[in-house]
Amino acid sequence: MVLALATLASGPGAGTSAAGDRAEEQQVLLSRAAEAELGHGWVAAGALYRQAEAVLPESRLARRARARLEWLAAHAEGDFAPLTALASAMAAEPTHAVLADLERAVEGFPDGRVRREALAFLGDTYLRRLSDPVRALAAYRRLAELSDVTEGERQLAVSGAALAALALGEPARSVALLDEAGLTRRPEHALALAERWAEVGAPFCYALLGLFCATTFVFAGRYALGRAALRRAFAPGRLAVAAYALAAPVALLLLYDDDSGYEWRLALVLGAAGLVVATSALGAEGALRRGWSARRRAVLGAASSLAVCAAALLAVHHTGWLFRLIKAAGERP
Amino acid sequence: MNRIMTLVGVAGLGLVAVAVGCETTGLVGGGAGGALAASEGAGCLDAPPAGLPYQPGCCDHTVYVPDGVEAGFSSAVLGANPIPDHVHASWAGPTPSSFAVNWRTDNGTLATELLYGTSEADVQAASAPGGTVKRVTGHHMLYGSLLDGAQRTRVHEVHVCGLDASKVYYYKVGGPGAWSPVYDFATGPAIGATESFKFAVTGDSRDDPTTWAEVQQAVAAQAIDFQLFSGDAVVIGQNQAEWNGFFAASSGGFSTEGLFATSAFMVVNGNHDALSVNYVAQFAMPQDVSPGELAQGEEWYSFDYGNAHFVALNDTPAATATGQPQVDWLRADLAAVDRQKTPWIFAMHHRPTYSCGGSHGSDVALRSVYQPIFDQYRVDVVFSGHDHFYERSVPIRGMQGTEGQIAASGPNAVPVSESGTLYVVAAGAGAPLYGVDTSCYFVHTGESERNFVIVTVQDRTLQYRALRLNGTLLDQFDYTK
Repeated sequence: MVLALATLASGPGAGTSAAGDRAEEQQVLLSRAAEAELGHGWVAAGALYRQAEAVLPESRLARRARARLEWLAAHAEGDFAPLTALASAMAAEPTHAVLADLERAVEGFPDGRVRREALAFLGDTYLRRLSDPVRALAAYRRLAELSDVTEGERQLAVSGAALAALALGEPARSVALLDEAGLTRRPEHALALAERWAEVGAPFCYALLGLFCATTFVFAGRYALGRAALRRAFAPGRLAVAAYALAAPVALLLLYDDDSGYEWRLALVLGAAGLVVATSALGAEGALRRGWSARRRAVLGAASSLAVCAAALLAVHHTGWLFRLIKAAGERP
Repeated sequence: MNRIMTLVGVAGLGLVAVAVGCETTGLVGGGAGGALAASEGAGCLDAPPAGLPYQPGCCDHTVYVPDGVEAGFSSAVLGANPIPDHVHASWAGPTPSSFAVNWRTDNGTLATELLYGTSEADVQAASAPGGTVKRVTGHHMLYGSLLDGAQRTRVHEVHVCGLDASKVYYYKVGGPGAWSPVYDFATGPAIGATESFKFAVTGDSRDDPTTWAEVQQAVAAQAIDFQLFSGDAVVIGQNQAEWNGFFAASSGGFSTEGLFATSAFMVVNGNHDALSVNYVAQFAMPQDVSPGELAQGEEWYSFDYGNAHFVALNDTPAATATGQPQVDWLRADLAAVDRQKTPWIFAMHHRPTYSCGGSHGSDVALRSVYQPIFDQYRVDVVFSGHDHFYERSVPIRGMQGTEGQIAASGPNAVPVSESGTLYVVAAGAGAPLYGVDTSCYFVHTGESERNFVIVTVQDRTLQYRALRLNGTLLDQFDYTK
């Protein structure tokens, strides 16, 4: 309404050219068409867009009119009654009652784009606005099973169902849904894999890290006490290794991370990697002082490496990079 | 042994750090010279340029190429896979009379031609200029980054000038035997004209090309004239694989290319884009090189569209964001705006100066530098990204210390007679969403949702709509001044 009034208020003045008059006329028609759309007067809007296009067919605004005409034609099923129902539901505050009404209406919709868009809207709104993944899952499944669903819409439906499964705390089901549909390159797949890993992998890594650190610390405490030993443990060479180990995660955090305040994650990376390097060094010092054989020292070194890997995995998981690395690996040809 | 094993354990991450930290940025500079670059049939045939940089036919602006790329002019060489993809349009010159197009081919293709006219059928049928169809040639660039390994990318760029305002043109790009589909592009209204126009604002597509495509599909349904993008197109700007996903994203039968080729896409650098050579080579933004500016003048820029003035700023790194060169440029640019012709001023940069919640919040250092300038020149709306959600401030004008002062407003926190500037965060068009917080004194509304903004300007009236990805209305207001 405001734009229509503004259009009329800035109408043609004396002396404007015929082309200018036509441009003004076209603009008024477009504003009226947009108003008609807001009131769900789809047929009237279509007529006005056609008039607007005919006034100056080569103009920029004619292109806008053509785009809206194409959109209306693609949503005209059932003489626009389904579109009106969907538009009304979208304009309303989302509640279970509003969505239930739309669900009932959808059952009577003819085959076509509006029915598919309505089911996608139901799934999305149940999932994101009403936090009801059970109903979201049902809507997405209904969409995926439609006979006229396009391949893109099917992918959207399966991905939505996978996200709903994740919201239900079922990452394995989420992965299975995407695997069955062959959608292993969707970002949701990487997300589900990362979540599934987090269920088992993260506790395992924490346990490994804790066990290693505790064992080496006790070991070092028994056999490598004294300032001189500590000085050797933190020799420049070992600190250089630590710095190298920390360079990558710190660079990632400082240069690219912005998922959440990076300070605590920086502390995590520094703490985890630093602890492993320190306890590894102490353990090695203890082993040397004890006169361990090369074989036993190799076992200690292997355990140290495993702990480093566990710390690195935890770091990339908690910084959100595990999801990205899985996704990147999936996207590589 | 222990040290060696530790070293091996982190070697993978170490390589990532090296790759991330050492990419070069495209700087102002010349490149290889070459053959013709001209516009034929438009009454503006040029003498062959001596080399790069060059001034395309009929254009008033100069085109530079980044350092670190191999560049040359069009020649009739086709590679094994010469059909253009990633076709996208923008403005590097005046919006009523020009547009620029970039695209990608295989590395062996050097043909960089654009055929255009006002008849779709004629352009479709043509393989050379003639009749109503005109031709413009441009330059191509070959670049790579550490993350791309041996893989390099060939992109092409053409600038079309001397066009009529507010008119639809049809074009295709490539070269004889390897043309893209025919696209349409509409020039902007004459500067100062009160004709209605509509633009979209999006940001932070980053991790998820599928969501990005879904957002663009929703944007396309709005029949926009052009789009502002507030940065962070990808996670790592030096990774071409991510850019390929950005330009060729698809969902539900919709491809972003169909939109990007037909409406101008205007971008600013985000912290993830890192002003990488990939970023600089693939976009053609206005190249008004000012002292201290990188990226051939594309680091910050402005343009006019209809009765509105748009300013795009680079706020990464912080030293650039608040550095004197950009600040001086911003002040001079806004001082030169004729508010009778362009009463509307919109600004865009990546890091928000007002943001509640998320992971970053307000960039107060940036606010202290930018806001006094925005206040002085009564900027209407500032668009940002970085915090992945939607948020709109109340009108703000003036500062007490580093805090903004709430200005007079009407219903729905709309400014009254330019009483204050609105600060909008509209991001998360693919990147993970952040939690939103609406408790800050400056927030009017906010929501953690996939979103985009549609602004329609009609003379002195602005119609603002923020929409969720599913098409529902998130925020709206009308503002007349």
